[in-house]
Amino acid sequence: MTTGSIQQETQPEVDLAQSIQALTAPYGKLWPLHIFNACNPLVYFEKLPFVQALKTATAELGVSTAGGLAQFKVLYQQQQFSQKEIAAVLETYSFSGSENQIAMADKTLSYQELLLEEIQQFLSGNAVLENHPLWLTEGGQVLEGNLSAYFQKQAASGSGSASKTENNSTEALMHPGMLPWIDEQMTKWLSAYLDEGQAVWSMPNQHQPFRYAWLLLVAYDHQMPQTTRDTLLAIAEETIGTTETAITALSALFRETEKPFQEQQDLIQAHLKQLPGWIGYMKYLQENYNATGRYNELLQDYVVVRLIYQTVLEQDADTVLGEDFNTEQAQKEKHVALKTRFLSLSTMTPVSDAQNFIAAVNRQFDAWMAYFNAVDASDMLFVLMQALERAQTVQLVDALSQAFSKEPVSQDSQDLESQGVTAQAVFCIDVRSEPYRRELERLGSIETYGFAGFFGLPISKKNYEKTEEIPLCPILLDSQYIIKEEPVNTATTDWVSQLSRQSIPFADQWTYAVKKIKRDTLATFAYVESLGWFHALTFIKDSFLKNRAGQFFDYLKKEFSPQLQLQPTLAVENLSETEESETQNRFGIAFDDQVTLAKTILKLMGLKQPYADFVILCGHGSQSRNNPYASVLDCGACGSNDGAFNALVLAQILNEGTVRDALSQVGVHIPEQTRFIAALHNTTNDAVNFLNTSILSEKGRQAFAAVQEIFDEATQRNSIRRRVTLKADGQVSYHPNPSAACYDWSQTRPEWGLSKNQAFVVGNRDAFKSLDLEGRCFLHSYDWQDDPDGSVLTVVMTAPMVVGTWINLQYTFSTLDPERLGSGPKYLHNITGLFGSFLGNASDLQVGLPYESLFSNAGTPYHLPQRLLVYIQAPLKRVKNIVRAHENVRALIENQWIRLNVFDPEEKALYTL
Amino acid sequence: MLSIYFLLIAIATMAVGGIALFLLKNDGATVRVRCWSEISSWVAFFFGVLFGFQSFNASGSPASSPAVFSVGPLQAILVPYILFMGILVKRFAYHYIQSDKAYARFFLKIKLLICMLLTFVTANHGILLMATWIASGWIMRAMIQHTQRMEAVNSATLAAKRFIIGDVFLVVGILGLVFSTGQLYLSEWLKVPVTVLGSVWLFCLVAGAFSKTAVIPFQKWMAHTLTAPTPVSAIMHAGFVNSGAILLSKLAPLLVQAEALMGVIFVLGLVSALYGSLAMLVQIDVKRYLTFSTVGQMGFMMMACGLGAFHLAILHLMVHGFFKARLFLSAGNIIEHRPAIRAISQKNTSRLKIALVALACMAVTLWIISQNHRVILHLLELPAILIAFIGLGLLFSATTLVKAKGAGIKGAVVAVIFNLVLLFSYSIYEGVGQLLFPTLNHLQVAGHSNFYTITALMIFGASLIGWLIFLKAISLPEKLKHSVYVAFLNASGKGSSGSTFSHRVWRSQA
Ligand SMILES: [Zn+2]
Repeated sequence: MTTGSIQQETQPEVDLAQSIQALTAPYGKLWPLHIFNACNPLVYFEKLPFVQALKTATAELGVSTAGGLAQFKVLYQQQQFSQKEIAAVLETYSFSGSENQIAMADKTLSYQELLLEEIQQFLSGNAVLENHPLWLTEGGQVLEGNLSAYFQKQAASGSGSASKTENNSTEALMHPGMLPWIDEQMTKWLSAYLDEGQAVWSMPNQHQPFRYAWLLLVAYDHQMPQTTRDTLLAIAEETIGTTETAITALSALFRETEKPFQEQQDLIQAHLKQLPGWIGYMKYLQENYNATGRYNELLQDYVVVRLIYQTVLEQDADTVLGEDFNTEQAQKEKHVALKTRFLSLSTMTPVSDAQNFIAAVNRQFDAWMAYFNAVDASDMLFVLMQALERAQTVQLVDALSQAFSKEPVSQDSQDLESQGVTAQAVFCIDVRSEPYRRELERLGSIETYGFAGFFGLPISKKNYEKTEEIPLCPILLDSQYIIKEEPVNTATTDWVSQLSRQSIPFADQWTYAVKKIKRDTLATFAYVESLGWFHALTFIKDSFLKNRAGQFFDYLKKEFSPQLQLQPTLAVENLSETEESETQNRFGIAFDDQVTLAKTILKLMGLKQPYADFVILCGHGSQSRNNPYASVLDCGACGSNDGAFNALVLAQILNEGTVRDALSQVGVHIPEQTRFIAALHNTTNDAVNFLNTSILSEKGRQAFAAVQEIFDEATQRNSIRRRVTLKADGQVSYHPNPSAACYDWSQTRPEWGLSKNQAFVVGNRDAFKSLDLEGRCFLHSYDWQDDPDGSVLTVVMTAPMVVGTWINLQYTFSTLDPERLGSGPKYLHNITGLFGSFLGNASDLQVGLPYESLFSNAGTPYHLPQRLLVYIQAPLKRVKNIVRAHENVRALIENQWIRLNVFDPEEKALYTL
Repeated sequence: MLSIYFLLIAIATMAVGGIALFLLKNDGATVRVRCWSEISSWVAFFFGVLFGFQSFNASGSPASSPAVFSVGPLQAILVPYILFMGILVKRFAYHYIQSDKAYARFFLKIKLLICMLLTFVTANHGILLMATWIASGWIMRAMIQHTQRMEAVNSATLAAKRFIIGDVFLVVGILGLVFSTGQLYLSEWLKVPVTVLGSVWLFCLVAGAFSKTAVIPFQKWMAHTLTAPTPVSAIMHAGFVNSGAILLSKLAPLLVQAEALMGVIFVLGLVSALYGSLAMLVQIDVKRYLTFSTVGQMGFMMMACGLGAFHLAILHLMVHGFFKARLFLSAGNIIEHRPAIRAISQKNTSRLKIALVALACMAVTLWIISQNHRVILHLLELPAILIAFIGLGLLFSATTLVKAKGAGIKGAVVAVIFNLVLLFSYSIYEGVGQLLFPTLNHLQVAGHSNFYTITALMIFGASLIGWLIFLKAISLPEKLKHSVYVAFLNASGKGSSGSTFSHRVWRSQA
């Protein structure tokens, strides 16, 4: 074979590889449950305007707008927003089409008017029936005919051309009954292949690429008839068996089936659309979890296997599927939907009666279709969303602007001590920090700051003698250092450390032994009969003594179970050969890096100088039981883990004398007596735990006791406040006592998490301390005067703001489509392979947040679906420069994924970008 | 009969509580629903306990004339048990299904199911047995499709089809007994010796019992019911599926006369036990793993019935009920325990060493026990097959623990302690079974025939081979291993009717 012909052979393969890359790009990554990170599910579409992204997602990813509209109807009925806002939004709403009006006989109707009318009809909830009398009139019949003709024409053009957005393309490509059948098979094989240890007998050949592991087993799959299996094996052998890579296998398959390139694309896309959750998880594995290279070709393998199934089914559809699928269903539904829209508009007829209106519509049929194509449910949704946003944030913006326009009390002259400040506390920007900080500030003498909860440390944690390494920084960043947890005092290699020198804490040893026995084939019978009653006891304990027993057992574990005192080890380690090769020598943080990190972080935090005696670095985490989605409630900035470890690491760096010396040489002065204290804010019961008070001297400890008291008081007050605000009347929605939720195994909503988040405020905390922001705002401290070159603001706008946006969009989209972009109700979840959740028997992997985290018991949305309002107190020019320089930030703003308000402190004016 | 009044009050309170929930206008999750449900549950439980105390010493129904309800140790224990299990599951559900739109109705269904189970357990009248048996199946169907989601409705229909088969068998069996004996009451049937025709009716009843217990060949419906809310699964695995064994226990005096039928029960039970506990090993999602574990346990329970050890079967269903309900409700813990589960599965030790240490642990355990053999002496009176299962339990648990904790001192100590606890608890368990249900112990009649002893030996031998395979000391041919793996992976059957997939096609085009 000549080189030329090889190139000819490989060209389609390059194209295929690229097209798979491109076709999978729109699907958002899905993290495994133990680190379930927030990410905008439509992140790929951020380069499109918001409403366009919605439309595309509806067409390409199967996102439903109907559910979202229903939420807004409820919110409208709850008077969360009103007609006033809708009208105001529509005034400035721009439509995608070129024309913006329809000329009728006696009047021209603008798109605004039409959309407004449709919204009115929708909100008033007048049910429009299919067999409305209007359709029985003569004009109605003509319209009906026009519609049918329109759809026929569309269908004819759709199947011929390469139109991707054409929804009925699937039918043109294959028997639609195939897809669910293949979905089921793929779910079976993928969950077996990707299982992380749930099954005692794991899939044979799990370490091989997916297509090989599958091929070795599918020969025995009796869910297919013998003949089908033979065909499948023949095809699979010819493609997978004889080629080196997934792509070559795919191209071999296409060669065999002789499909043109465009059809190949359409096919792949039709298949990808089916299981977006699995695709997201595979993308995660391929990009974030691919240390051994095992997942290199996972997505490609997936496509290959799916297509092999399809090729087989094409020959054998009836014997395998044997079910009738209604292919006309979708077409008919679109037809009905359009009729409904016509009807809802007929009420606004400028013509004297509806019949004339219909007649007029028939005359202007094309113009009307243009309107219906240009303006759809996504537009309606976006208008309603903006109306809600207006209603929710107008007061907030006013209050903030007022607060910022007041002359700052010049405090620069006074130092902290003379103001009676005994401690500075740095909290995460998380919305749940805001009410706690407010309580703390009201008690006086503690100054609070907002900063990303990972405290600027791009680290991963490796637990003591655990093999897994867990990233503790936002998903935007790659962790650069792995920090090990080591015993505080290595000399204590006595029985205590002997007992606890293993992956499982001593107190849990028995539990895990039992876990193991339960999963054993024959031991399980003897076990149930002899020790099953033990479960009755724990069952009763958890049913009747949730809180007290939980606290009691925690106490026992803490006091009596031998436990090693662990702490992060920063020293750079000499690694063994194998470890080095895997982790690229990243253990520990070198001294120089420590100094640089410390300097940057202190600058970004912007603490007032000189520092107070105690600087508290307060991370946060949630505590709940029996909750597979627990990580959602933890700190998003720490990669959905709690923030304790990061706080400890930073405190350790900053308390180190040598680091401080080095810092003072580069102009950062930390007073001798200042101590950095790591703390963890438990967002379920509001308790704050101090983690490294052992570093304090006796005298320091006495002084710190006063600070601790203030924190305890703030905890009390905040939990009372939450008790009042969160206990909806008469509903079993929330524990009367937040601390009980920590131990309640039956609680699906231990806390509300970041529900109701709506704004991200960047500015000087002093100015708006007195405002009650209702725990709905991310707060990032920023002093524009200390940052003339805008470098701090750049970091804020490119990192925490983006993370905040993604959290907001995850909550919002999960609320808008709880089935497709959220993960459905918790009581149907079925955790698979230790990484994901099914709904019921088997389903796509569930993405997004569980229903209970977003909706109140009455089924009304608790989280209000709105985009994030970013409010920055900084000179306009500075913000504009940053926006201009960073494409991703600019895209978010220009495409209306966030709403940016800038308060220029020099001009004392508010700008909306 | 005071005890009957207590029973009727308990059942009536439950029913009234449920109907009160139904009549509440708002179906949402309110404190009011919880209060009503809680009060009626506790009152019913109170009377259930009174009933238990009153009827524990009563022996069957009064001799003179048969009554609608029969009372005895079986009923005395099971009535409070069912009521208490209901309380536990409901207490969990108050919060857990708070976002459900038909919240009050959910508790109505649970209460009705409990009413039916209570009536079934205590019923002596043939028609009442039939009615409550059929009704509980229908209520279970309503519970499975509680969410009204398409896939839930599909899987409920699938389960209902199996129930109907069972119902038909049961009705035929009961009618057969009614007509062949001329008596409407169960207690009267027991007095008539079993004829050939009688054993046909008994066979029908056994088939009915199997359909609900999800024992082979009826195991498939259960794997499809994961579409139901978690608390439904809990009450299904802890209450509903047990009705089969309860039915057999009620018929025990008749069944022991039909030797061949007992053999069938035993064999199907044994096969289900092995099948379920092997299929469970390959399951990847938590709830399905628990489901196959139940199939195994139900098989084991049926096997005990087949041996004549009805007293152990009843005790087993109670203990297993707590065990499985608890596991279902805490299925969400799995992510919390993820690091430990992974850590265990990654340990690597030499296999030969594991085998030797595990055997040594067994020997040590037996030696310790032999120092004070009173503890287990009565265990030796059990049929060989049960002893074999205990022995295998000791061996397998020792192996597992040694494998998990390392083949050193630590692993050995843990394994021996665990084995001692296991043996000791088992001996207590057996004793309690004797004590509570002396009338149900038919071991002497059935359990010691040669057939069972031979089976026991075969099982023991096969399991030792299995043990060696488990330790990878013997390796099976790839082909066999793969085909068995896939067969178990497919054990739950085709799921597309009960999964969300077909639903999705429709949605993505809408
Ligand atoms: Zn945070």
